[in-house]
Amino acid sequence: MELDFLTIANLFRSPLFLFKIALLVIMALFIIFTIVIFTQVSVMNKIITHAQASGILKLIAILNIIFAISLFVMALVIL
Amino acid sequence: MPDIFVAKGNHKAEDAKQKTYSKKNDFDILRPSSVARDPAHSHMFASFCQNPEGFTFQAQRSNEIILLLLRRHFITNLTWILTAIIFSLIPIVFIVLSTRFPLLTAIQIPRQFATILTLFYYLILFSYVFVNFLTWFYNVFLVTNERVIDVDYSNIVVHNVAETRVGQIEDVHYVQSGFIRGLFNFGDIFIQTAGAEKIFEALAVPKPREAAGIIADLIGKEAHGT
Repeated sequence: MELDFLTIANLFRSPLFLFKIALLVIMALFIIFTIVIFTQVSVMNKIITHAQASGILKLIAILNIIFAISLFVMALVIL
Repeated sequence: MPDIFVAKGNHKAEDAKQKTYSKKNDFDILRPSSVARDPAHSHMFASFCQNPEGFTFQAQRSNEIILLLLRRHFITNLTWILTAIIFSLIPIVFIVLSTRFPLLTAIQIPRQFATILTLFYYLILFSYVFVNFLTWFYNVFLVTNERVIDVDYSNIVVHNVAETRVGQIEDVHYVQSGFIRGLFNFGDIFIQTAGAEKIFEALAVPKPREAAGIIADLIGKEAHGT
């Protein structure tokens, strides 16, 4: 148990590990931001609808979320 | 005061007036049957669009027709477009420079970190472009045959929709000042109303004189500009 605690303590001393944690936290916040963008696009599409643009913008917003989540997962696995 | 009894003779005078109006392009827009649409300016990203095709809005009545759709002139997007281009070039410039100046790569970052950071950087940049585009796209000023609707989408989490009936409009005027505004023909339109929202403003819209004229024609007044 003591060994595990020391391992964890050492991990937190490593600047790369701290950087990884910080990056993951920022990425998680970014995912929330992309979800907010998607929600806003959906709300605005209800207020103003354009036959072509509304669908395209919604698709871009969804792709933005997918890319953000993919990058988060990629960072979690690779780093 | 609305006329209750109108003499038969007056119809001829009114008919003549209608015919005179139909010759003018500005009044063509008031007639739903005739579509005074310029194909070059009726696409989905147009800033000045008469009788826009495919556009509808919330609480639009069945007999309500969008006569005019205004957005900020596209040239006003130049700031964020240039910013995005410059920022997209930064990593490329850094890579090119780091091969010539090894001092730049003094701090060694593992390859996987660099890859993730670069991808994340471009994703943030993409979101920046997308949010700015949305802000431009959803900031619209609609003029229908019944009312004027101002949709403000100033921030990603703030949107405000204000509307007033055409009958409540008291005055329309536009301001077009400055070299850039004169060069690209865009300016601000201010609509004074008797409603709760005293002033409606359409900022940096293209062809402000024409747009103000169309709104003024709706209320039967003359637009004036500065």
